[in-house]
Amino acid sequence: MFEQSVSSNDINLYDFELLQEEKKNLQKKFRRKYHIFQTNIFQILTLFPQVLLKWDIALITLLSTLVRNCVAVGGFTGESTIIGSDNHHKSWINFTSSFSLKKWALSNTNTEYSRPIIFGYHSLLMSYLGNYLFDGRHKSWFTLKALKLEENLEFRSFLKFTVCLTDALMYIPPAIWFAKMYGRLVAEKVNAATKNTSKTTFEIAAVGHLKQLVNFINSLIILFQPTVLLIDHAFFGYHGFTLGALLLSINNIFDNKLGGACVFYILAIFFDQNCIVFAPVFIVYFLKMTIFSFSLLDFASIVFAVFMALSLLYFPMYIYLDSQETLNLLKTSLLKLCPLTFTNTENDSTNFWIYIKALFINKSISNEDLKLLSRVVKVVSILPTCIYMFKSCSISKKSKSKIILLYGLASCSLSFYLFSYDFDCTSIVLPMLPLTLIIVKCNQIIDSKEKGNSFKVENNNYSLHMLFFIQNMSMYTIWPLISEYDLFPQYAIIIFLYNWMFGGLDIFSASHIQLYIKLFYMLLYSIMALTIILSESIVLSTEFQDKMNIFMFLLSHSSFFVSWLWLQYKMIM
Amino acid sequence: MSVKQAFSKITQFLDSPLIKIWVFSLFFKLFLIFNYTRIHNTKLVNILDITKTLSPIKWYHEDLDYPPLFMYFQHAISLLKPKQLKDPRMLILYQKLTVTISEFICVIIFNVYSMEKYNLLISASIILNPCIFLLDNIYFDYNGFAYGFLALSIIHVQRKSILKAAFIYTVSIFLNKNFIFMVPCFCAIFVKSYCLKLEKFEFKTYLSLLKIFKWNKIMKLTLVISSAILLSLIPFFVQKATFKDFEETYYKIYPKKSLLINEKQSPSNVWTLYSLFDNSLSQLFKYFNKINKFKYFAKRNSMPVNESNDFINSKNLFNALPDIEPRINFYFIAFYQFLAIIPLFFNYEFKRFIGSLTLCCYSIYLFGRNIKSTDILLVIIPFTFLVIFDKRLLTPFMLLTSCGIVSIFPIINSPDVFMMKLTYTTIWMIIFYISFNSSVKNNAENRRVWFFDRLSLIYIVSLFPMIIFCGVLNTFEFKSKKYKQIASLIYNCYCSLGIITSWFGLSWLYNFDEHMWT
Repeated sequence: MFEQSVSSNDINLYDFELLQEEKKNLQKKFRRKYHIFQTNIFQILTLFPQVLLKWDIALITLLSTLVRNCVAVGGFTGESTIIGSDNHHKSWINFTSSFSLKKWALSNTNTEYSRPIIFGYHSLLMSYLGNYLFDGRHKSWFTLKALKLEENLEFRSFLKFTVCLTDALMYIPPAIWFAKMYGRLVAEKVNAATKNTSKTTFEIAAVGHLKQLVNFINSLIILFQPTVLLIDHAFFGYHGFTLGALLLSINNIFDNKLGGACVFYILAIFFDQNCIVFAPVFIVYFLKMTIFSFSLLDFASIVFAVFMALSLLYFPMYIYLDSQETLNLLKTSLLKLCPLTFTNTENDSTNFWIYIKALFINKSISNEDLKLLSRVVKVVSILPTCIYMFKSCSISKKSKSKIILLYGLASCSLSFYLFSYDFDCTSIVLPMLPLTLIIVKCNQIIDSKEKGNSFKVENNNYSLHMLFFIQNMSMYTIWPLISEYDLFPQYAIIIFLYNWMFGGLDIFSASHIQLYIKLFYMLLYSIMALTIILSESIVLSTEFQDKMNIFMFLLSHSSFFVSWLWLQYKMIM
Repeated sequence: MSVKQAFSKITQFLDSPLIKIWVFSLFFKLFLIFNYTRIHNTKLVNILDITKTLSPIKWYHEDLDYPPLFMYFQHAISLLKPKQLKDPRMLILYQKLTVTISEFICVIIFNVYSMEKYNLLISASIILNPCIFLLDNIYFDYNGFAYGFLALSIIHVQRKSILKAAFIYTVSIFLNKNFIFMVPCFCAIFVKSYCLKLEKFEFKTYLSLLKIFKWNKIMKLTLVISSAILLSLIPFFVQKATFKDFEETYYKIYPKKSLLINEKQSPSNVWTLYSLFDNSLSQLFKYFNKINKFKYFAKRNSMPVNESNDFINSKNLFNALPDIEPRINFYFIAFYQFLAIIPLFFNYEFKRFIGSLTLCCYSIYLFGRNIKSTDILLVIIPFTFLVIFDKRLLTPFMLLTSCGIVSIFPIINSPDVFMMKLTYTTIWMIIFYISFNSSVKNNAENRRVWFFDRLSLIYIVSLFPMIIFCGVLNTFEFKSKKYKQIASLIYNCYCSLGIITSWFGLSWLYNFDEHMWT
């Protein structure tokens, strides 16, 4: 409703100047109060005329596409970066070279084929596209044997282009949608609270303008998320699709459309089986909102939607396979869904369980036991979240339970990340999504004149510092990947870009924070920077390097553990 | 205390709006600097080796056509190069970093200028200009540096400090050889606004004609200009260069013989359309030859037909139309520059000056010989200063910039930056066209824009399908290689049509709309 009062064209020049004046006053007032008004990107955006915000969707899309393309630019430094980087990629080429959906769907032994069904459809689509575009010139592209990546710049660019395309179709629109919708939710809440306050139309209009700006920046915060940028675009991977589907499902929940949310969650989980880390929270939420609130019709509609989605997914298979094979297929696809069964217990754990094992030298613990232990710890760690969610979510308090859902998703996925037996540093992408969404939640203008308002803002600012610290920490965890494939420039630039744009390091210039907290953060950041610089610049002995790696791993894991505790605290408070 | 003051000054500097915008763009540039390890510009690859020795005469024995000051600049860079730098990859990195640092000079210049409201928009649009961004960081050139000096001299003209403007402009000629084509316009404004006194002029005898000139100011001006020239040529004198050396150097920079259309970077100018016309005529010619209809064509049959697949690039010989002599180029340029400069003698306001400067650059770009497509910056930079004055100028500006930027795409034809150049250009277009549109002053009479607004908008938007269509033609190979040439022909002609139309628009407004310029 704010936008309507502003966008009417018959504001004459005098009014326009008044509006500008009011906006300047408000900016001055808010600058001290809100974190987002101190960020560099905000100050840049205010330099340009307001009309630019009519093009916000185009600008956000283009800016995030631009940064993706920039990250993707990279030379071949020695070893070819892509082939070694990810197993997905190998399976992608293998799969598309044979074009046999059947063979791929039925195999359950080869880990290269261990991807769920939508991933298969997606790569099939992309390879069709590639064949259509380049078949005339590069017949050899989709066969692994003839592939020499060093020479084939075009092929590499095409692969990166498909990642960008997937992002542009699946990830960018839901991110913009989320930021806008969250802004609107807050506005509605505030409107309901302060209906009768006496405000001039100019003030309302100016606040509306500023809120548009804030939404703009919030969508950029989601889309410039550094780990996704690095892992998807500097390496190779289609996490954009997964995160986009997850975001769509969260958006649907925020829009009170549970059926749609279920369908999109299925889309996500059938693209990347790691999405199962969100399952407990989603299941608890869906059950609580439908069957335990005695709205059976909703429940029935959800079940129906899920069945429809599943049958649509497997319909193409029905054409290819006979009945025996179908049973086989269902079995394998179920297996594929549970990444837990795939972890090979012959290998040592890559997570911190290996150190636990080292502690008990006398009593020898087998890997099987460790795996069991990790499962138990995992279940125990997600139990409080689930119980709290079950208790406090309800239909009558929808807006509150939506925020609890965000916290729940973050803490649940983090506990999976912390305590699972197998550890892959790329899987940090999943917990980072809800954590980024919580940044959006904290970056809002709370306009009401309640008593607790200033306290709330202060509180938000504290959380923001913590959340940005977690963002930086997530970048720190993927350092081993970076050092292995020599992607240091992109890594450093992305970190600086993110912190510069959104004020991630503003904690050192903030006035309201005590000195000892600042010093603590300073210490942590300097340790992080020091270790990275040490391992990048100086050739160390392998022994020392190993110790350093262990130290880095422990540092990142313990800080994630602290942030997990902090999330529990935040959720319950 | 002084440390604190310095610190606060630095933070103030970093807080200024233009620096913030530049830092934001710097992050994107850094990605390219560190990861895009190729240099397309073949001339600049070995320049550091050549300029290592301090002997400017020898530099010009190589195949280089850069003016002296630029060579000294390269010499300084090669001196500053760390000695342990042997790895060719690190060398490229070093060269690319020097581009960014030299661009920073341009940014500092604009930062001082951008304190006023509209100037911020102008300076932001120049330092973020996709032409400069793509050419400097991907293609590899020092455009930001050179055009920064040109912009500085324009700014000094605006502030009416003519001596400084003259000095800086003279220096900038020695940085980029193409700036010399603006000499008539700059001379006119210097003479008219600085050296002439016309207010109380009465013609009594021929001697009174001498009183028009402010002789002491003329002396000052010549002193300043000649000192700038001498300063730029000092190393030549130190090396005891003879007159012959100077002559050789001059002809190296401005060669006597040159092709009509540059072979590697065909520009989008009149001659592209000319060659299209020639091409279609020669096709007709072939056809009539076959059916033996018209006598005229039969007569021309005796001439050998240039059967080349290359439609534009090898088109310095024409089949049906007469060849273009350098004389003809000169006549065209002289005529249009003359038309642009005449009004300056009646009215030498900044607005008039910058309009005439833009038209001079247009005439060079459109009718010049051996022009490269990168030279479109010559037109874009002055026009950016001009567009803020009137809303009607916006449409020609939009046409010029969009077509000009798109016309330099083919020289950066690496597949991994294809998407990037498109997105960057689109972002720039959206941001600056809309900002200019909302902050440009409306003309006093509030007249409707005469120029075909909608049509040009459609034209600009359809640049995108055109790029994709030409890309498809480039990618697919049907039966022979012919389609690649047709694609480049379509591409160049489309762009040149836009640029020529924008030239018409500006010329019309310049010559027939007196209210706008007073």
